Amino acid sequence: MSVGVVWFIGVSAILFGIGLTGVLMRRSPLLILLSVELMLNACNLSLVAFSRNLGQQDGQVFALVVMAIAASEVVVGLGLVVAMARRHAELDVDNLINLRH
Amino acid sequence: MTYEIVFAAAAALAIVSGLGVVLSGNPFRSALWLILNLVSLATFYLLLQSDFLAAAQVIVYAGAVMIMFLFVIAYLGGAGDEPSRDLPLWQFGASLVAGIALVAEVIIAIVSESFPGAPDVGPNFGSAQAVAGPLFSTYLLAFEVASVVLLAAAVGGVVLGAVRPSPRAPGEREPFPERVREAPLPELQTLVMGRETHIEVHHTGGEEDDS
Amino acid sequence: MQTLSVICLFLPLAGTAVLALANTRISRPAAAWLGTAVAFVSFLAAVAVFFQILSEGESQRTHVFHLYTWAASPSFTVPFTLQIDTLSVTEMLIVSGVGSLIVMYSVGYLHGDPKERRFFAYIDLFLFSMLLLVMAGDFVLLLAGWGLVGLSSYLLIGFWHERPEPVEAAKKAFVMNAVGDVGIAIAIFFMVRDIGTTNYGQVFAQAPDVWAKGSADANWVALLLLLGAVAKSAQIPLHTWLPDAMEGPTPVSALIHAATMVTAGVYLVARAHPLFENAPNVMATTALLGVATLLMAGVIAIVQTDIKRIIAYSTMSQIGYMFTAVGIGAYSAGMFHLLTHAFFKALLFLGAGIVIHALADEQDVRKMGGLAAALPRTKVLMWIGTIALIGFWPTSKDQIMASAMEVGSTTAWIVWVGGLIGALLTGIYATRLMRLVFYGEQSEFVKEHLHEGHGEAPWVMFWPVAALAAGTILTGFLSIGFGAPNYIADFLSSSIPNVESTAAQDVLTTLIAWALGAAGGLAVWRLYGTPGAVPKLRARFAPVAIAAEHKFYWDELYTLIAYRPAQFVAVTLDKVVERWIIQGSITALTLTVRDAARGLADAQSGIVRQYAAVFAFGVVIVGAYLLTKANL
Repeated sequence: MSVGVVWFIGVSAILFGIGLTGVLMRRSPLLILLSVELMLNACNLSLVAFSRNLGQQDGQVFALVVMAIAASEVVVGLGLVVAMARRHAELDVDNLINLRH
Repeated sequence: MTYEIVFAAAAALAIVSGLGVVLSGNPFRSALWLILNLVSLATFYLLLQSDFLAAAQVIVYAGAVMIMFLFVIAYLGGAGDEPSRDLPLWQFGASLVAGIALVAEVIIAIVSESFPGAPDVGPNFGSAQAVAGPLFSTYLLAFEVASVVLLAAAVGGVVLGAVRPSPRAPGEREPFPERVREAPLPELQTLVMGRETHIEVHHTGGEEDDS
Repeated sequence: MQTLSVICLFLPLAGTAVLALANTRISRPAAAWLGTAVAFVSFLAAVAVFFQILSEGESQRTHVFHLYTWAASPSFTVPFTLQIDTLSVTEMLIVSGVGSLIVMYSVGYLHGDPKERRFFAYIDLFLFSMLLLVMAGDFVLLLAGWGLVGLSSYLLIGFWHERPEPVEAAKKAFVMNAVGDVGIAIAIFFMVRDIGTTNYGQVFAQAPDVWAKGSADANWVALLLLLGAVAKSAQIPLHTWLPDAMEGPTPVSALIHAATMVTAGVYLVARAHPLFENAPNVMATTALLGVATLLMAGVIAIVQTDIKRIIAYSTMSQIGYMFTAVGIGAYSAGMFHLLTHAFFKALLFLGAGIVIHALADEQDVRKMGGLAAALPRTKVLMWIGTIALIGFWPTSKDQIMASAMEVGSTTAWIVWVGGLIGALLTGIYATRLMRLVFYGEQSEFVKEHLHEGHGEAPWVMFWPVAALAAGTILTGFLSIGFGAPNYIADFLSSSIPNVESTAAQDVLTTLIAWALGAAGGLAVWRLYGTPGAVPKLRARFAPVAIAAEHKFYWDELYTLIAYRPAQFVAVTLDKVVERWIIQGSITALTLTVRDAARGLADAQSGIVRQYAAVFAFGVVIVGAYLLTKANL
């Protein structure tokens, strides 16, 4: 690869930052989930980049497993969103404070 | 040369689509931006000679997960939109600060570090076989655990999606739990010390048992 | 004799213990009679000891029984020692004899009271304490008995504790007695420091050597003992508790505050006479205090309206006579008056109790009158007591004054004059009491309420009073005066000295005293027989009358100089130290913890985005820290 690994990591960092900002800024659980996906993918990118940099496939295996876990997480998350919607709750994360002291 | 151009293009696409996910007003649009982002990442993977992963990314992520998202967004319709209240400025600022700070830290970290050059690898570097090797030997446990997690997620999805018949008139709301009200604390002093003591003549009243 | 003394002393204590433990398991009459029986058996033991003493020769009449060692340290031991000699056996007889009669009377007086059993437990406790006091052979043991009688007095004054007045009176009595207790304790410290023991025999033997006569130390020891005696015997200046103590039941007033406890001060001075003779100034002080008290109390008694308080001030006055006696060295004369006074004062109190009972617990003499027909036997008995009080028979009071003539010092002449004026005052108030209660027209109150009361006394109340009357008359024969043999002084001579007056002095003094007493009595009789005479007389002497009715403002004085400062200190301590500092600091601590906890709890807002933000910022900060640590 003729582009240094630093560039890949840089892109990954930027994507991660964008995703983080999205998580903190948004109030709809759906959009938060999307932002989390973004963050996860950014991590995947850096994993694969380092994997190539080291010449081993370990990073790719890691990224594969991350993909699987991300998929499970999305399933559960969307299940929650659908359950909330079915109960006619306003999909606003700021209202869901039952874990308050 | 082509490599760099493709990289630049993919990078630009990734960043723009990332911004699109976060800044878009419409969840549907956000999902579509995310798909674009995933595709750009797949390009990255190809640039990194991880073809199996690129394929998996497109098929699984972009093809399955995002479709799931789109289904739910379509089902929710307007309910999936961002709630209408505005974000206070300080929260907006804080989020930005957090994101930018993190990015800055990572960039500083990697820039000051010198990474060794990438070794030359054969054409089978990112093939399915190559990935499967470590996956099924060194990282077998991770593989198995991931399977269990997927199973759990599947079960969870079914449970969460189950419709419970409720003895309620159609159209009537199931009550959503109220906020827990804060219970007032009694006057702490009375709680700890009991009633106040007074200096006064103590008149014993009442009968004691005969003596 | 040791066994008998121990029985006499400890049987009442056993009675108290049994009554306290049995509590409601025995019936009230059973408890009452048990308490009485114990007192009577104790008296029989005392009588046996008396006869044993009588049968001995004069020089052998002092016995010291060492029962066991209470406290022992290398330099100082406190043995539990009884000293049985003529003085202590006389006191034993008085305490247990008059005591058992009064306890028997209480069976009737307290009948039906819901707390009857407790009363008898307390009374037996008192008998034990008083016997311990007079049988002690050691100053520390004396102080133990001293404190215990103070306790018993407190418990019995405040017996009806549902009302606030008895509670206040009990506290007042106890606190004032405590002042006296301190005096005795400090005197004991002197003894321990300078003599090394508090045993009577050794202290009295060594005192003149260790403390020179009239020296500061000698004066201090005697003065401190006098302080204790003054507090216990209700002499000026520690006398204000005695009238208030009348809140207790009448038998208590009779036993404790007339016959026995209040005379403990006189006993102390007589017992410790070597120490007092070592400090002549203090003896003079004692005599002068006695004179002042007997005069003041006599004046106050004239204007009192509560039948028990008249008798209480009379007690105070008569004890003043006893103090003058021991103050001039006539110890046996003082003890003789103590003996006769025990009988006739108890008689007067118990008789007053019968009157009170008959009028359904009314004690105001202004509401009485004309009871002679309704209570004839009581009237007769009380006249016997009144005659004794004024000094016609027995002549113990007159003999004190005659002894003063014999002593002849300035102090003694003051005693003589004061005593005679006191005889006049005694005649006045004693006759006034009888006149107001028994004679004249039956008042409206009497007509209404007489039938509500218990009528003239039941036998269990009457016969003790009759016995006391008989005792009053009989004790007079122990020393008739006018040169006749003085049996009591002879008997007591092995323990305490006396000043014998000549026959001539006796005759002179006694006749003057009788004349003055009779004059006072007759004047009162005529005065009350003439309608309107008394208010006119009062108006003429209004300032004196008002001062007397206010008991010469002693209570107000003590409230000002003692009670108010103490109350101020207590209130300030409570407001500042207790509430502010102690409680306040604890409260501040708890409030601080609570507020801190609340503040921390706000972090658990339940808002997911807040948690995420905290998370993110945490990562940023840790990352920044790591970056600074890395070698960039």
